[in-house]
Amino acid sequence: MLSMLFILGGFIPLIYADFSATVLTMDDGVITGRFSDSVLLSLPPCDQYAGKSVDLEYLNVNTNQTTTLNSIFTVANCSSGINTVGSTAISRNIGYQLKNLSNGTQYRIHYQIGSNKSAPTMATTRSVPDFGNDLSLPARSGAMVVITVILSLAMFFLLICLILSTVMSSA
Amino acid sequence: MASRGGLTWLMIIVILCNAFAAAAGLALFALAIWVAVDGYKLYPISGVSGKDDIFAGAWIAIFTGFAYFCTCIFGIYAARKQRRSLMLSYLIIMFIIFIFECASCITAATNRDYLVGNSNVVKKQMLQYYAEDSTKGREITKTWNKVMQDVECCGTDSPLDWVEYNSTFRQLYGTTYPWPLNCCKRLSSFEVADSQGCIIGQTSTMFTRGCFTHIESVLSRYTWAVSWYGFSVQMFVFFMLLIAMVYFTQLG
Repeated sequence: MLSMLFILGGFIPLIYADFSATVLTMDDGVITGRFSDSVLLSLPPCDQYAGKSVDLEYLNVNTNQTTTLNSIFTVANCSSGINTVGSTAISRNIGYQLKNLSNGTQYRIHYQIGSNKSAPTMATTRSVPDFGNDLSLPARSGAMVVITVILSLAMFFLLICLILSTVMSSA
Repeated sequence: MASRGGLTWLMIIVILCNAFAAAAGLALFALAIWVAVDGYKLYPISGVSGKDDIFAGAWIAIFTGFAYFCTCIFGIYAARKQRRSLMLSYLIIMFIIFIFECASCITAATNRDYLVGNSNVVKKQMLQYYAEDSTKGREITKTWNKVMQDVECCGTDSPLDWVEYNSTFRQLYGTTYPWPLNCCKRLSSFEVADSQGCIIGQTSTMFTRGCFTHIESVLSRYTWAVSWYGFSVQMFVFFMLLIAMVYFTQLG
């Protein structure tokens, strides 16, 4: 039994490699990694997989349809950092933009590099609702209340005093 | 009936207060002109929403400020002449101007709350009218382009507004451009510095903060000019009119 466990344990690194394709966030230098029809994914670690060709497989959780993209890019060397030339996220070494997705849908995504498979990650594309169908009235500022109350009282008081002073001086 | 000495002192106080109120009224006139001129060019944001009474309050304050100035000079003359008919007409005219100025202060403060109490109205307007081919659409597009470039901002609360919600811009330009190119940093030659990076969303190539803070601070500045300064002038005029009424009752 124990020897079986040891043998199985030896296979675990081949089942899931120790990296995953995470969705990029503001910390990675982009506004957002989630759009309505694409997601920006992080790249595999360059120290282990530089120069290797990467495949990507993703599953649409709603329709249960799996799509495989073969040889989408080659992992760059660690010496090349993020650059500002090139028209795609991958040519700038920021990440990989997985396109042609449906909006408001959840996907399970993982990279495949040779026999190494990354830990799968869940990513949901943005559903794009209309804004402002239920606009609530913003709270009243204190300024409005103070000005309205005090000026209304002042107006009323002045009117009373004006009438009184006219009556008193004609009496 | 007050003694001659007491009456003279009261007359001097009324004259001095009127002189001060004339200066304050002229300042109100000048400040209201500054608001009406709208140096920050943000009028379309309130005009298109139909809630532009901050500027209506400014126009009323232009009238009342100048009217206070003229009437207070008349008040100095009326107090010096010590004639009851003149003082009574002065009091009635000042009271009418007082009512108009109250309307200006209250209107400006209330409409500011509608517009910029939170970012919802401005955001909805931006999503609906930016890039729309209508009169309102063109005004809003021009205003937002100017704000995004001058203030170096994108979207209402952040650039994510363009990506999270449906908008006329998205309907027209699809998802190739997640946000307008006015969100991108530009060189001094006005060319976009890095349009591809901006489309991907690299934070180093575009503006990442929202424009609502600026819009809210400008409209609040206009409102505080009209409503709070108007309020302080009103408080001074209130006490001055009370003293003038006492003087009026003491006149023979």
